[in-house]
Amino acid sequence: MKAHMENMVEVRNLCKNYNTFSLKNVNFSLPEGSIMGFIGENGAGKTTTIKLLLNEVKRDGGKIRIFGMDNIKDEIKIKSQIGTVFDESYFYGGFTVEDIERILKNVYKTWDSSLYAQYLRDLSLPRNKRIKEFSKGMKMKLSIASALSHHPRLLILDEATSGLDPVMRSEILDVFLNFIQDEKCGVLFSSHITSDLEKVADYVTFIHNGSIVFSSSKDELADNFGILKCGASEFPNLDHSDFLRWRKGSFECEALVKNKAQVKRKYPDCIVDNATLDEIMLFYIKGEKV
Amino acid sequence: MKGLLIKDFLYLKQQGRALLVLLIFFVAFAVMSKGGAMTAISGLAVAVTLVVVINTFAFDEGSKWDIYAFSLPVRKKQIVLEKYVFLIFMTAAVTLISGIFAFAFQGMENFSETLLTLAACAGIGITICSVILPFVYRFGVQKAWLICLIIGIAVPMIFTPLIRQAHLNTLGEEAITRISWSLPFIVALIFIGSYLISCRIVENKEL
Repeated sequence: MKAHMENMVEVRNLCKNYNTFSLKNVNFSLPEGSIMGFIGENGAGKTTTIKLLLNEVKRDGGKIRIFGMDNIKDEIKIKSQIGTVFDESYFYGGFTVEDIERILKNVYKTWDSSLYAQYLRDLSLPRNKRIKEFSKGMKMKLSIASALSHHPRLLILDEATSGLDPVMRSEILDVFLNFIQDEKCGVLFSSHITSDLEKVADYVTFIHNGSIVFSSSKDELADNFGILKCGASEFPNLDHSDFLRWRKGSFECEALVKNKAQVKRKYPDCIVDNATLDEIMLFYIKGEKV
Repeated sequence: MKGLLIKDFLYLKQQGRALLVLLIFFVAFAVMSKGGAMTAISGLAVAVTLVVVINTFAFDEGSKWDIYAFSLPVRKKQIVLEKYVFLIFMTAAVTLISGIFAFAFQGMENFSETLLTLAACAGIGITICSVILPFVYRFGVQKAWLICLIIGIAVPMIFTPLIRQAHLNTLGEEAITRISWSLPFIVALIFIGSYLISCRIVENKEL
């Protein structure tokens, strides 16, 4: 883990109410030089949080500070240092990558044409082909090249790798890892493909039903979270206060625990496995509350 | 804002073929209608401005550009302002082209009358677009067209009898001159009012 100085993003008690959904007191911080995976099922509040960070929707409560500045008061200053990649390309299909450059170099003062050209080369994007002829992966690569060519400090990705094949995803993840080599930069990476986050994220924030379940370093999660497995008949005799969530199979019961080592010592006859991000998510979403 | 303007001009480039066809229509109309060339050109000029400006919104909607645009370091007000600046650019360009055609086919006789017709057309184009744009921002292109079609039918139905009753033809020359001079200010007021309404709609818009 890198030594971190400051928080690039600080979200405090963020609230947003819609008719059928609410974001409730969301809190998390993204330290400089790190990649934060923002996970949760579809409709959990990831995109709403990102829209609030970008001031695309109005918040009903709370504070957001990015680079130490208020995201509404200093919106333009902040946005000029942010690169965003969404789940689909929002460029008109009739444009070429050169058209995109013509537009964006007149939007960002720090646009770097040679860096853009380098990304186009590295990501094998043709200059004269129209975007509508691109595959989904190529469109995503173009979005990433466009998001990085003005030397942003913060990259915000909303489901940027969804729907891409593993090879393309791995190529894109390498770009993010390269970007983060500069310790003044950071990435907030919303995704429900947890395997991608397990590869690249330093921190993981899990949102469920509009509330943050946890926000901590990936290493802490790996060290602490575990899955206890035991026979269905044995399960009622265990101390349920040790469990966060549990589920019952045909022959055995499984429970998500937050203090793996302690639980292992307490129940030496039970198996306590490591928990993947996918399993943690599934337990919180589908598992029974204790 | 310059980048957004370039985007809309790039859309214009995408419509190159369609615009070329329109230009041929311009010429054909002007040649065929000889003496009445000005009327034909004027009507087409207003239609072209309207279609080109509204089409930029259709292209934006088709690619969901707004979601991306709101993430750029550009204020929402500037995003709106760009469309109004584009409207002015388009009106100026179309008026210039219409003027060239008008003078080419009619010669320099009736010079001041031709200029007045061109100015009136530019004013009508700006007014119609100014009425439509807030609806486009609020309801999207398709619904806005429908609303404007309803307005386009309803307004003449309501106002024509009223104007007839007002006996405007009995107005003196001085009154008509005064009304004529005030028209550019009325157009400017409608334009600014439309911009402010659109800004309000976009500021409150949640994507």
